[in-house]
Amino acid sequence: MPESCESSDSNDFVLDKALRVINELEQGGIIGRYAIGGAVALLFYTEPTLTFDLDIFCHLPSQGLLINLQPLFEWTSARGYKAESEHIKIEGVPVQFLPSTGSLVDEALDGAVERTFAGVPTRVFQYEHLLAIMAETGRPKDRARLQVSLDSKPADESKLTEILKRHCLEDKWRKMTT
Amino acid sequence: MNESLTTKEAIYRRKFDRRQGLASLSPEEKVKMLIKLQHLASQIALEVGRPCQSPWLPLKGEETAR
Repeated sequence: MPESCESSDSNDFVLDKALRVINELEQGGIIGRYAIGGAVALLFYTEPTLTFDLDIFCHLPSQGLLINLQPLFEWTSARGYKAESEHIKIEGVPVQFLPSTGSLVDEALDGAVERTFAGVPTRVFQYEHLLAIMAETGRPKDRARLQVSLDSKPADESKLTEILKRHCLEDKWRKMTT
Repeated sequence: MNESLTTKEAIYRRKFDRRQGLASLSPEEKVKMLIKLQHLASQIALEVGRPCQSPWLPLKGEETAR
């Protein structure tokens, strides 16, 4: 890797600053319980894969069937964090706040594990939930990422099988992994 | 034949070990690597004229140049 690709400060992980802000959002009740999902969550388990987004799965306040994002946008914009398409850019990191899309994500959110990143406490989806979500989502990039992940770190087979069974994802899993 | 298989196995083993090594790094180290990957990806995208998101941190020296 050329020297010019070094980041500006070797002690600056950038993600820790974004996570501090997200913790404030949770502590202030702007968002409910959150956990990191997607490719950034995979960083806690496997080799790094390219991503530009930080996916934050969380419970968001709702009125009836509609999710109310207004408090989130008001809080972040008051602190100078701008919304850019589907993201809010927090400390240089494009963060996507994703409400639960179903029982699998609900379970992943409930079962997320406590971790720290550069001293900042956070929560991360368990590896087997991340794999199951990739199978459920089923985009070409999920298939590619799933393969890279499994090559990098094998799953806990019994835990994964239980999750796939519970959410009727066994067929999808077979299609994604063969 | 056997020799070629051994070579293949050795290459696979080396790749496997390298990936295991990467996987066992701390998340902080991996984020540093991720930022390097982001710079690489955005540089390639720029060269082929494709849109790309900005890396999380500027390159060394870029911050002061701005």
